Amino acid sequence: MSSKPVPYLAHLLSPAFLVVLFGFSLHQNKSLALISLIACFLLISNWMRKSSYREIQRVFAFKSCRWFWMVYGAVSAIGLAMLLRWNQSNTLYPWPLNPFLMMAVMVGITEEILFRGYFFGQLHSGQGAATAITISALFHAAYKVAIFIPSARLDDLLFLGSLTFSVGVLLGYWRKASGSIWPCVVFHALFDLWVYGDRSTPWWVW
Amino acid sequence: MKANRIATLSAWSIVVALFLSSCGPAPTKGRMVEMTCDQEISLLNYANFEVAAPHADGRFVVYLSGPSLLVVDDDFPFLYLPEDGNRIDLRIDGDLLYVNGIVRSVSLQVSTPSNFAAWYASADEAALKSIRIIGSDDSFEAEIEAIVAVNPNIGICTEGKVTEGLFVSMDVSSKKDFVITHVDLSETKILNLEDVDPKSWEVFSDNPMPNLYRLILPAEPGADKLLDLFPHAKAVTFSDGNHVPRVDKLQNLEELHFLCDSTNRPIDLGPLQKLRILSILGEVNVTGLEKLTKLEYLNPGEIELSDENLATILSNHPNLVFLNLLYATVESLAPLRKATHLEGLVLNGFRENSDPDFTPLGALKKLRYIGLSKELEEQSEVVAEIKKVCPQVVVYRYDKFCLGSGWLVLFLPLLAFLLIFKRSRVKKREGVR
Repeated sequence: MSSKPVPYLAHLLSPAFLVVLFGFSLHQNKSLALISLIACFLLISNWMRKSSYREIQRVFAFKSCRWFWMVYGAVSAIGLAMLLRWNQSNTLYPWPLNPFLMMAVMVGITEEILFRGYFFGQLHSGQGAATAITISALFHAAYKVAIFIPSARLDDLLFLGSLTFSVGVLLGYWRKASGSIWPCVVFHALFDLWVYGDRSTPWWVW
Repeated sequence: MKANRIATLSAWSIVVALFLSSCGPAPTKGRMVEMTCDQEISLLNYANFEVAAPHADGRFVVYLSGPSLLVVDDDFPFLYLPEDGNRIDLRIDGDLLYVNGIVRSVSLQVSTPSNFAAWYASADEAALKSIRIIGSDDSFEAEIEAIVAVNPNIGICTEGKVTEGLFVSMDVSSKKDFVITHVDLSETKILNLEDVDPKSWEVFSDNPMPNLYRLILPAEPGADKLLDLFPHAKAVTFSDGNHVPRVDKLQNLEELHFLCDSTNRPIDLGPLQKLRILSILGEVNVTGLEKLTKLEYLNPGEIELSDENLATILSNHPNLVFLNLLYATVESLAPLRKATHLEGLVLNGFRENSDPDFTPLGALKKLRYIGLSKELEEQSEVVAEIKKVCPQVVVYRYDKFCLGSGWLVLFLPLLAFLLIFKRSRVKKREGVR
């Protein structure tokens, strides 16, 4: 465990709370959702403004890694996505592709940069790898669940929360082991592409 | 002077009378009802209404003629009454369905989460009276009895059991012999037999059920014997099957819905002079359409319409308020210029080699709603063109501020900008050194 203190409120807890609030209020109070999103971005921007370029790079881990981590990411994503599609009695391959897939891929990339990049990086600085992996996965699961709290049933929420948390832990480990965000980004982008590539825009995305 | 006063008084009386009459309900005319829900739901295209645009993300526009049975998310049978208004907000909370903030339907078959017990514990008499339908299983018998005691008109939906009220069992397929008696059904207004094999129908009733105005049944051999019993029915839906019986005896019919196929012989609709709503969702061969001059709502089904065909339809049905062409393709929209009464329109697409031109819609000053098929909706310029020619209409799923979780991607350009900015400053510093 590292001993470096983390400015929890400004750089970690507040953005995490705001992003969860954004998810929760999306389909109930759009103004609140927009304000939460802007406030979250402002807090992260403020941290970036004050931090050095090297510090930003370290937190987000925008650096190259060994190629097999990327292959792990790609193969796991496609495997898991095919399993999900099979479970939903869907074709194993997404075809024909829908233009929405660009949005699906971008959303996946952004979530990874936020949760395995920013939140993981901040936690890793102050609390060490195990805490960073667990808490960043918890933040991600809370965000996902918050989006669907107003509409989904409890058992669906539990399933979604535990799946997001489990995959989040796995991705957190990859992030730690590879020292880079890119395997996580590849995983999430490919997973979303495979699952949503042939679908129209889901109601919660747009 | 006296004559002057009398004239003034008479004029005011006429004004007040006109005002009062305009405030009352319009019982004979259908209405477009917009429904929204806080979550993605499905509305069963059921019986007496028409989902104008099926790809609705929790938003529907339906055309209802009056009291109507809707089924929300397969679980909640809900009785719409005109007093609910033209804008309905639905909210599902476990086994409770809120309509405009009031619990109107309870579905005890929905197992998780069950909020009924907690709601019941705090409900006063007014709240109990506001429920219209309970979908019941074997649980909460005491509570249901207590609700029926204060709310005797409530509809109770149970498997295989016909109870008093407005609504009869949704699913009675497990019952071998479905018996209609005059005792329990004397108040019945809606009879739903869609899941019952007509061979098992046994009707012995000396009460012709004069209250019954709506009948939902499969188009199977045997359906005609039941229709014969209800010549006063105002609405009939053939929910399934491929043997539509003769309907020409149902001369009081105001609504007719075909959710089935029937290609064996043409069905003559000519005698149904009172018909106001006609919806064809299956492959059904009908004749006498041109004689139905009172039609307000028409869904002609899967058909290719030339300009001439469309013009003929519009001239034969001058009272048309809602034209649903969700399964039809048109050559052009030019004939629609004459449909000045049109308030709702659903478009599927255009015939091959035709040039989509939406400018004729500009002539429809009463048009309030346009629903688009998925194919049209995905063409971004279509919505823009429609909004340009008729800015007053609500185009289905066109939301200026469609905030969803996708807005998170705005973080990417922000991050990229800040990174580039920081990097350029680092390079500058290195250059100075």
